[in-house]
Amino acid sequence: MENQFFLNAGVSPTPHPLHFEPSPPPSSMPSWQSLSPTMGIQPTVLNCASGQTQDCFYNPSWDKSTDHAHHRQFDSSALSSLVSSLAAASSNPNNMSNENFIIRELVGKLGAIGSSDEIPHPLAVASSYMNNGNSSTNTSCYTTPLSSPPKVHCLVNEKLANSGGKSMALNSSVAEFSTDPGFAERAAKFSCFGSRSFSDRSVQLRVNNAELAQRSAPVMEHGKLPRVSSSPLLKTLGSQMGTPENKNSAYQEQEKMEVTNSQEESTISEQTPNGETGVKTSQDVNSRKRKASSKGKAKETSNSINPTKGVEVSDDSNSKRSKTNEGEGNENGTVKVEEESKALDGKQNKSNSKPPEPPKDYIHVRARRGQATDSHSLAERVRREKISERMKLLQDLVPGCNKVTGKALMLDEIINYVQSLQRQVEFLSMKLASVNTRMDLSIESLTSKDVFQSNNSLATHPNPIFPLDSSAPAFYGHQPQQNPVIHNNIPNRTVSHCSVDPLDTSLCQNLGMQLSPLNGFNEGSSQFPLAFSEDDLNTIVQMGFGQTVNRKTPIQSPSFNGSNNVPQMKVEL
Amino acid sequence: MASFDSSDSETLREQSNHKKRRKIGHHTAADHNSAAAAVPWRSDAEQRIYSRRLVEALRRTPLSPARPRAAGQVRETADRVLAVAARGRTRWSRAILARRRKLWTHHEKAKKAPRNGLKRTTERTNRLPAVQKKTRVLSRLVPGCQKISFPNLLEEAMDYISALEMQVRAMSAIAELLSAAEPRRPESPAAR
Repeated sequence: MENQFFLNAGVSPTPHPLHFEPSPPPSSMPSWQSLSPTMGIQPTVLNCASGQTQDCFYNPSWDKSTDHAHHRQFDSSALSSLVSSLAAASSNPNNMSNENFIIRELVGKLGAIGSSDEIPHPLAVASSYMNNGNSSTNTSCYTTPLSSPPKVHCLVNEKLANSGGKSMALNSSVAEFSTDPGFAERAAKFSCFGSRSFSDRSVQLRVNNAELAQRSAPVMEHGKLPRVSSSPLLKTLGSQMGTPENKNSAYQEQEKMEVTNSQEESTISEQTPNGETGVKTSQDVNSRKRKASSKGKAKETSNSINPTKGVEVSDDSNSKRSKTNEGEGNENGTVKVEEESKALDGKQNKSNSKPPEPPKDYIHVRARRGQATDSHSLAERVRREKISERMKLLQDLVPGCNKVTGKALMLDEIINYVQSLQRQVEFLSMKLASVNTRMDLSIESLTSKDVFQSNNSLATHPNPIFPLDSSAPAFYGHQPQQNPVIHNNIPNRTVSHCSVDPLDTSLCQNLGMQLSPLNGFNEGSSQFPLAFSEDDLNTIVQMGFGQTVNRKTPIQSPSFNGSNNVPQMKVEL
Repeated sequence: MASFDSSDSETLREQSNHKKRRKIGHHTAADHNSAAAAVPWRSDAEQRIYSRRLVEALRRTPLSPARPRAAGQVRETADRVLAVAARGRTRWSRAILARRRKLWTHHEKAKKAPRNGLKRTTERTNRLPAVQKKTRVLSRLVPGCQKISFPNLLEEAMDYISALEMQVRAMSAIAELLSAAEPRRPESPAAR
């Protein structure tokens, strides 16, 4: 049973958070149940969660009632299940309140996991979280694990600190944290490692926060994670964490957040060696890049701003390099600016050291190496990038622009091209107008049977003619309105025209197509003269462009001439 | 006219010089249109759709006998159908469709307004840097883009160029086919 849990946790990281859900439930369900007696809050939370997510997800498990004596293993699985539930809940971005519940649940669970023999504590913690405002209890919960050296408590401390620090950090980050499928794996790993490694560094909250931050970093890489603003809970939690720790952890979190570790496993492995040196990792972070495209959504003011921005990065859901926000310029733009930039350690540290700075800008741009970093120049650069990007696209559009460089000359070319196109349209419209008038004049001749020199027989059958034409518009999916007469004429007329074959093919296609009722025909008959020309045009147009479409049916142009065609066409119709 | 699809009826309405309901009333798109909008203009399907609609619209236009008028009418029809094909996502398309309405409401008044300030504006514009002058020219070329920002103007110009190219292709094809069909017709009366 325990192995199953571990396996489940191990499987979790790779799949998408949403996919993660189905895997753990079968075995993690019992863990819910096992914990429920210990933690009375669980059922409520579970209810909330299940209400959100697919009910079948959780309900069947509730039927099973399995008691598990070993809380530790189940705790890890509970963690995974928690994460899954959180993921499921977070997949429903609308239910933020439920997510709050779940977050608290998770936090409580974390407390429970570490101290299997101190269940009341996590319970108290969880309940306090649930109540959302019992600062004394919370602080006490935090302090007790911190002060206790034993590995169990260290583990608890870690988890609590992680959860607390995380909650401190960001509102949305918690949601992301919860949706992190790798979290369960990490949790499992932590329990696997035995808290030996943890005890070395567990005492320091900073380290924990760093790890948490690192863990949260990959979370942010995930694909669009919902921005859950469980701010009230988080803020209270954050405040409860204690201010001094907050600051330090915030700094480190900011630094950690910038780590672009798309692999959660890598973060875990990194945590162990880097846990102690928060500063060192910050520099490593600086060398990494992250694309930040915040649209100004998560404007969490309080403690951590940079992490907030880092969270907004999650929008990209890329494992690409991302850029940290400068945290300075107020650039309001909706376009993400990807710049090749080298990290400026100094600049980054500077921005990291200003947590209280509110994130006003929407685009997070990193200044290039050796370039000005003030907000104005950054905004200028963004604007210039936009313009140059569009100019490049225009260059592709406008022929002969490749050699031209510079905005003025490019604009010249563009203007010339647009003018030439407009002139062409003018000329063609003149031509069409003249052709149309001529068509009008000669349209009456079309109505006569004599016009259809080779299709006299068809001409005698006005009814069958209609279906033919109706198929033409059906080609486009529109209602047919034209007369099939034109179709008959087309092969004749266009025999010399190169488009005969396409004409024939498309004609056959038309025949095969669904024909609309003869409504259009009535209308068309009233406009017979014009209709002819237009139908002709339509079919011709089809032919002209019909190369791509239906060329399947072979066409016998002579067949069109015969009247036997008509019934055939009808049948096809 | 139940058989006509909405576009036909719309063009029909447009051609009738009555106040019409704007078919494209749903577009609330911002001016920042995605560059991807330029791509659909190049597709064959788009061209076919456009040609068909143009043909239908042309059929319904009461063509005046005078050549220039008819050409202008055809041009306007073509532009309108093109704007319709843009589905209201671009500024120029909306401006083109709004042209007609403005004509009805304002008629000639709107045309007189800019004339007075022409001299002054030309003097002022001469002092501007070259890029800005050209930007102004371009904004005049692209319908409805008089007062938008430069990057947006470029965006609109991109889409407009693609649309124009498609329009030229479609119209030239139609004209060619029609003119190819033409020579036979004179024969028929003779054959009669």
